[in-house]
Amino acid sequence: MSTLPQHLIDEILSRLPVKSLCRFKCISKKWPYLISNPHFVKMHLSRTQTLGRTRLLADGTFDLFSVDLQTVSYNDDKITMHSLKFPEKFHWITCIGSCNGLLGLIMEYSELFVYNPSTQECKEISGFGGPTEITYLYGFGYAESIDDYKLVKIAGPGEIVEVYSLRKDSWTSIESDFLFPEKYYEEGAFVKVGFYLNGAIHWAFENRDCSCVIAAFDLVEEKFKTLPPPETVLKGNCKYTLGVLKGFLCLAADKSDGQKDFWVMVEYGVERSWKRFRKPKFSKLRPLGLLSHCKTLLLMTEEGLLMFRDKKDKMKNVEVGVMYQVDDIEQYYGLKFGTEDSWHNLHIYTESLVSPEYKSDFTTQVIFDGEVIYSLKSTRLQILLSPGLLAGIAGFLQLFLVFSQLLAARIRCGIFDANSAEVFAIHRACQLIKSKLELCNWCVTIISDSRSAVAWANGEGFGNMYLVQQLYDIREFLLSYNMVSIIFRLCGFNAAADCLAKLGSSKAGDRCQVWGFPEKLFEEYVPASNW
Amino acid sequence: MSTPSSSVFSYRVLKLKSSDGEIFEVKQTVAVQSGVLKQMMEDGCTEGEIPLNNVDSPTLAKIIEWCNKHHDDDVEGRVLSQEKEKEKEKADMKRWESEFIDALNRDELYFLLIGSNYMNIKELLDCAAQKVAGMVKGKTPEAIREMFNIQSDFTEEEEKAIRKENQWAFN
Repeated sequence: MSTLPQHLIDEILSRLPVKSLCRFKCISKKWPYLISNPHFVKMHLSRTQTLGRTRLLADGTFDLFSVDLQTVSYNDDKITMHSLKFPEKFHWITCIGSCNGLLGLIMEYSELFVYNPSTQECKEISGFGGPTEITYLYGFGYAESIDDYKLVKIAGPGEIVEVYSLRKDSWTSIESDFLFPEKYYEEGAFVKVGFYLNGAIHWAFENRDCSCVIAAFDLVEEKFKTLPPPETVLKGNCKYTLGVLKGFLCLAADKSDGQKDFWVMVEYGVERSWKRFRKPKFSKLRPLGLLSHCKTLLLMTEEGLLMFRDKKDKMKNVEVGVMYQVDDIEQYYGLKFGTEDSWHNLHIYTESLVSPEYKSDFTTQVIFDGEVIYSLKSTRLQILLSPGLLAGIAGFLQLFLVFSQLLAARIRCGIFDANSAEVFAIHRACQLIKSKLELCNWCVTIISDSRSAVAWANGEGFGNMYLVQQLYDIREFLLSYNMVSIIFRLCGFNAAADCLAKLGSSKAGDRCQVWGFPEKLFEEYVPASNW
Repeated sequence: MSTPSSSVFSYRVLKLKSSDGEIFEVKQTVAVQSGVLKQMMEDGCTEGEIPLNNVDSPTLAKIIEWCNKHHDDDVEGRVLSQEKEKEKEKADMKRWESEFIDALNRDELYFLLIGSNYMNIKELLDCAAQKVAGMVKGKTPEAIREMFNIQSDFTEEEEKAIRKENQWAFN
C-alpha cells in the first residue's frame, strides 16, 4: 500500500471540518501536535475561508445557537438553529465580535469570554470589571502583523480605552483623545459593538455637528483614526449602521424622516471608492454573508433576516428560530429582532482551530552552540550560536531562534560581508533543527538577513560545488520538514532565495520567500542588546 | 491561463519520461499548467527527454489527460462573452472533473497527489486533495490509520483519555 508524505497529508487534513480533526487527535501521538500547530491552524483557516465553511450564530439568550450556512438555501422560509451548548450559564450572552472562528462574548454586561464554538474551547477573560450601569463600546478582532487577538472596551465618552491581548493574556489602559458624542453612547443599547475589519474595530455615528463619523481603532497601533464617510451620505438626525461583507466595509444610514441610504467602501480608507446602492426599503441594513452555493445574500435589518437572490432582484423575509431544550424536550422558539424586548442578534463565524487558550508556560531558553545554557519561563526561546562557531567562514554570524506559541519560531541569520555565508547559515540552522527532533514539530521560520550575500550565485558562487550541495541539502530538509520555512530578508533580488525556489519542488519554493521584514515585530522579541 | 508567450511555443512538443521509462509527448501549451515544466520552458532547458522520476506512466497519462482537458488554446479563438455559455462551460468542466476523479481508486489518487505535487499542477492537486478529504471526513480514527498507514503509539489508557477529551467530536 502506498503512503503519502506528511505535507500531502497536511494538504488533505487542511480541507477537513474541525470536528473530524478533533476526532483524529487520537490517531497517534504526533497528530494532536499536528492539528494544533500554529502553521497548520493558519493553513486550515485560510482553506476553510476559501471553502466558505461558515455558520450563522444567534446570541441574546441563555445559550448560543448556530447553523451551517451550507445547509441554508434561498428556498427556505425558516432557518432553524441548534444549541452550541455553551459551557457557562448566563441569562444573556452578547457576541461582541467574530474573527477567524473566535467569538468575543460578554455575559450580562460584566463577564467576558473568548470562545471557539467549533472546538468548544472557552476562555474567561479575567481582570474585567467596571460599573455595569454605563454604556461600553466593545470590539474584538485580529491584529495580523503582530499575530494577536484583542478585545477592546471603551467606557463613554472614551478617554480611556482598555485593550486585552489574548497572546499576552493581559489588559492595558490607553489614554485617548478621541471622544464619542454623548448622543451616541447614551442612546439605545448598553453595549455598542464595533465591527472588525482590516486590523481595526469600527464604529459609525452622528457627530455633534450632524456629520457622519467612522471611527477605527487600530489594533496594532492601539489608537483611533477616522475613515472618510461618503461625501453625499444622508446627514442630520441619522442613525448609521456598519457591516462587513467579503472584506468590504458597508454603511447604512437611516434618517428620522424615513430616508435610507446604503453604501459600500470598495477600497478601504479611500473616500472616492464609496459606492452607493439603490435606496433600501429596510432599516439598519447590515450584510451578514453570502451563500455562494445558491447566490444568495443574507441581510440583517431591523425587520429581521432577509435573503436577497443575485440578479433576480428578489428579496424575502426569513423566519429564524432556535431549538431550545426545556426539561429534555426540544422546542422550537422563533426569534424576534428589532423590538424593544429583543436582545437577539445574528452574526457569522468561520469554523476554525484557532485556540482561545494561549499556553502561558512557554520556556525561554538560550542555547549556546546547541546546548541549553539558560532557561526561564517566558514567552520565547532563543537559540544563539556563538560567532566563533562559524567565524572562519562567515566572519560574523548570529542565529537567534525565537519561539512563541503563535508567532512560530524564527531563526535570524545576520550576515554582512560574506558571499556564501547566507547559505551556510541556513544550512547550519536546518541541521540544528534536525538535530533537535522536538523542534521539527514546531513551526519554524528561518529569517535570513542577507545584505550582501548575493554575489556568490552570480557566477562564482554557483561554481562552488560545496554550496550547491548545501542548497540541495536545504531543499531536502524543507521537503521533509514542512513546518519549516525560510524568509529572506532582502528586498529585490536575492540569489539564494531564487536558487532555492528553482531547485526545490513547488513546495519548498513556496516556503522560500523574499520579504520586507517587519522591524517592529522582531524588536519586540529580541532585545536590542542581542544584535 | 493564456499567457502572451503561449503562442510562441504552441507548436512545440515536450517529451516527458515517466519513472518506468515511457515517453509521453505533450504540447507546450498544455505543459505550461505544470509549474515545474513552465519554469523549465522559461529557462530554455526542455530539449530532449524530461525525466519525471516521481511519476509512473499510468499516473502521467492521467495527469496529461487532465491537462489536455484544462488547457485553453482552443478558447482563444472563440468569444465567450455570453454569461450563460460561460456558466455552462464551467458546469461541464466541474462535471468532467468529478467524473475523472471519482473513477480513481485510492492508490491511483495517492499517486496522482504525489505526481501533481511534484509537477506543481495546483488545480489538479486541489481537486485530488479535496477528493481524499471527502473520503476521510466521516471516518473513524481506526479507518484513518489504515488509510494513511499509521501505527498508533498510544497506550490503551492514553488513547482512552484523549478520546474522552474529544468525545463530542465522535457524536
